[in-house]
Amino acid sequence: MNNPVLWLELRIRIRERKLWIVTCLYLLCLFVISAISISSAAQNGLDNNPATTGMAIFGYGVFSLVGLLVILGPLASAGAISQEREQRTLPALLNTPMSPSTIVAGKLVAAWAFVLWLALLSLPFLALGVIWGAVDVGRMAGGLCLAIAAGLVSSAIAIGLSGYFRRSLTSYLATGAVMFLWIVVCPIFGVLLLTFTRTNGDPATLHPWIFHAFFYHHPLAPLIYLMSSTPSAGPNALPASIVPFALAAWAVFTGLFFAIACRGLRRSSAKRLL
Amino acid sequence: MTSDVRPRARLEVRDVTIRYATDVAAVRNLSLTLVPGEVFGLVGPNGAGKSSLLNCAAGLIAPHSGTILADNEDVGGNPQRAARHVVLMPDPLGVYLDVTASEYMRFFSRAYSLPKEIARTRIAHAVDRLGLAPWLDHEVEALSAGWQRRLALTRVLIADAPIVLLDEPAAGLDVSGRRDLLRLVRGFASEGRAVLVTSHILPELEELADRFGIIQAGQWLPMREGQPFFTRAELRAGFTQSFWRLECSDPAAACTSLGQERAELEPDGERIRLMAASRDEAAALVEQLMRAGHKIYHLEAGGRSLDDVTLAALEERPKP
Repeated sequence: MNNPVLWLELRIRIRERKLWIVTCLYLLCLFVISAISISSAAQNGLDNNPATTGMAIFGYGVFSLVGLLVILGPLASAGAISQEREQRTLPALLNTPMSPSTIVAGKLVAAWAFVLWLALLSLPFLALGVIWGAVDVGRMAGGLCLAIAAGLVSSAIAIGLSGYFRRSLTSYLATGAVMFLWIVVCPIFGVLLLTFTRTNGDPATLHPWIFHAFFYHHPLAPLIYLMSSTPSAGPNALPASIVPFALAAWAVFTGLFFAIACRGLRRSSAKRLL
Repeated sequence: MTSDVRPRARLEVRDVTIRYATDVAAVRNLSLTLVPGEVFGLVGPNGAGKSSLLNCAAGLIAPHSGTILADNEDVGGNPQRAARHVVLMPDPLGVYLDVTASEYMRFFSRAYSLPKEIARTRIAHAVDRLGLAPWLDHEVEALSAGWQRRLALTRVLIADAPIVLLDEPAAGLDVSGRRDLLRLVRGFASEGRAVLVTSHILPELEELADRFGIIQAGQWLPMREGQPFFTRAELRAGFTQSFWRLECSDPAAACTSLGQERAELEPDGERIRLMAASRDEAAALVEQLMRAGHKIYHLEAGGRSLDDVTLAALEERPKP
């Protein structure tokens, strides 16, 4: 809490009504997803095996968690720096001994704190998987940590573009476009490339670069590995290296967009400032 | 409570040119030295380059050429370094609206990395001096424009900056607010701070500043013998020539007896304008009139207002 910007952001955010509205909507989403999972598991006649039901809840829950965090994280932070420009608070903020990296770090951690808050709220839903014996505590913690890490990357993307663009609307649109490219377009390109390079045998072994370039850094990729490596989920088809690769790629993305935000603040010109 | 103002510092702007991305020069080869304890009034029409100069002096805009020295340290394009010496109150103020006044001050004391005890002392001093005590727990959004300006001024006291840049500090203030602001800013100068103020409210600026400069299209307008700056004393004394307004009996006859070079009738026909380079010369003229049998009712030093001087200068040198 030594970062003054983080201190201020948390104070402002905690008073915002939209924080509580988003929180309620988020909980409602998780509740609906859990209810659908349970009823779906029950209707599919899973022989009253609690582990199967628990696995279904955990699986749907953790994927929904990542999806929601990857959407809500940027929504909460895509205007963080551009709003300082729009509300003309940036000159006073920059006219302090704080470096651009301190300012951006404060904004990013504040945005991430929102992601952490939502992740914390989803714990009871994920815990159902543990209670019903589908997954152990370690796997649940792993899933939660991956979701939180994915939320950090998406927040960093939003903060970076918010620092780069002068207007919040542009920043929101650009963030949406980048997230769409990353989450939707990138895997589609990967599939198309695989179609063109179709050969006999395992494509992941024959064309590992396609998988690394288009699939393995996807926010859901490590979770797919996590789910597919459970004993109840059948044979593991994905390499364990997905998780460290994804985490490394996410770290690079975070660093890159962090640097973009810092550069946006450093690039001082009257036009950008005012 | 006393202020613990840091050692005095001067601000030197040397041949600074500021260009926008469109390659338009907002400021061209401008120089200015601001000494401790001085209030400098920067005057000029909209778009003349006043705010650009202030932002540049605060390190927020990198100069295209030239140097900005604050306390002999080059701060051009380096807001962190500049912040050690310079506090800028920009226009618009840009205060955070969704925090309380108390939180606003605590945020800036944290931003300046002040130890808790010093932060507490400086905030208490700022609250006391600016009369903010009743508003501490109010959201900034709920404060009037005047109180928001006072709150923004707390940054000067919290940072304890020796150089203060105020961009249109009186904008949106009522008469009493402007008078309070005047007192505050004079207080900053009497503590040894160097203060640079821009304002479109020239009567207030005339009361506030010790020295003035008129800027147009990013350049100083030469005012007197090619010099760009003039003091308040020079302004009061009529700027380029000294004159006195005299009320006496039979002003038309008095004018005739002194001659056209020495006296002229004011447009109201009630007073005479005495042309004299010094007080002694004026006294001699008065004595001459008294000897000629005129009764002297009132004598005052004449002068031109900052409004007059600025308008005349801008009309003489229209924007290129």
